[in-house]
Amino acid sequence: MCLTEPDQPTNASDWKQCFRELAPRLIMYARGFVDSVADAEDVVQSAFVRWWQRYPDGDRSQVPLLYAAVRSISLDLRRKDMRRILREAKSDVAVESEDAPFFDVSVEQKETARLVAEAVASLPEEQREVITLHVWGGLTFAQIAQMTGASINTVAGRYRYALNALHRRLEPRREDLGAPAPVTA
Amino acid sequence: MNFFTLWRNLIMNENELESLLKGLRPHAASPTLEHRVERDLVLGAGLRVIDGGGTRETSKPAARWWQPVAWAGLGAAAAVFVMTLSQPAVSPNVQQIASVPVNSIREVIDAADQGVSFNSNQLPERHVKLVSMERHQWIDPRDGAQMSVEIPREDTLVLPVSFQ
Repeated sequence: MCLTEPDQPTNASDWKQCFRELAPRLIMYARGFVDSVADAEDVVQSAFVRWWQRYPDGDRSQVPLLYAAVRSISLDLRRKDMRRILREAKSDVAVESEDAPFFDVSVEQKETARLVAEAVASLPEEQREVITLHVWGGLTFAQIAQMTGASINTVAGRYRYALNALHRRLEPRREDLGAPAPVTA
Repeated sequence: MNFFTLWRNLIMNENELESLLKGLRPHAASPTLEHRVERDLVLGAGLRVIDGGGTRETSKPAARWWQPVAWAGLGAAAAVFVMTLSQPAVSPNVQQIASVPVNSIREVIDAADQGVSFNSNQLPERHVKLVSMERHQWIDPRDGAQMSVEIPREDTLVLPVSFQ
């Protein structure tokens, strides 16, 4: 674990360990706003460099600010129509990256990961954001509320709606998910 | 088996669903991204030039990057100061605005080759005019309020030319 509690000294060269820990979650979060993995990585690069320059100790309490930066940069990037046009004009290599997987999984989990990724992608953006930040980002509802500007109740409600929506979508595919099989009487 | 047990087993409960989601690990970042971050950290500047072809290069030293940011910061501070003057006095325990810079990007909008000319030493040099836009953003972590400043720039690059 690279992240430290406030006032705990760390080696400045620990950024790689910290980056490897945080980057997958940050990229996943950014992909909720931008269309391509390439753009998501650009966003994470910019946000992480700024964050690490400001908090070279990897202060754990400042991680929500890093997610806030990813959110801000992603939304700004999405607003730029020119970028979208350029992206659509990119080569097949870039198009191929659009299908990049969301999860690192074993062969057994591959179908589960695909179904979950599809289900999460089908959520409204506000719900997808809360699910991503809470489940994979590890942020609390209070932290999510602070960085998104919504109330804690709103965030908790979005999480609940998201879980219900995922449940409705995944329950019929229960056997494909590797979840415990239903018991028959 | 009672009805509750049967129902619990038939329906994927919330904890089971959360466990399923948390059991999936987000896809790792590409190795090139780590190299790009390392390069930016080593250079000490994250200002990136987007050339329209998808290539991102760090092109300015930190000192030059902070210059426009400092001016933008001064402008923002002046704006806040003027807004404060125009408002009624607030209680002394109200905290000062603590915005944090989160993003600074320079995007090259247009590059025009102005051709080769000869300088005062009669040496050939190529002039390229760059039109760009710098965007700086601050965010108040307490409420997510964002402030953005855009600075249009026009620079002329002078490149040495060899006719060999």
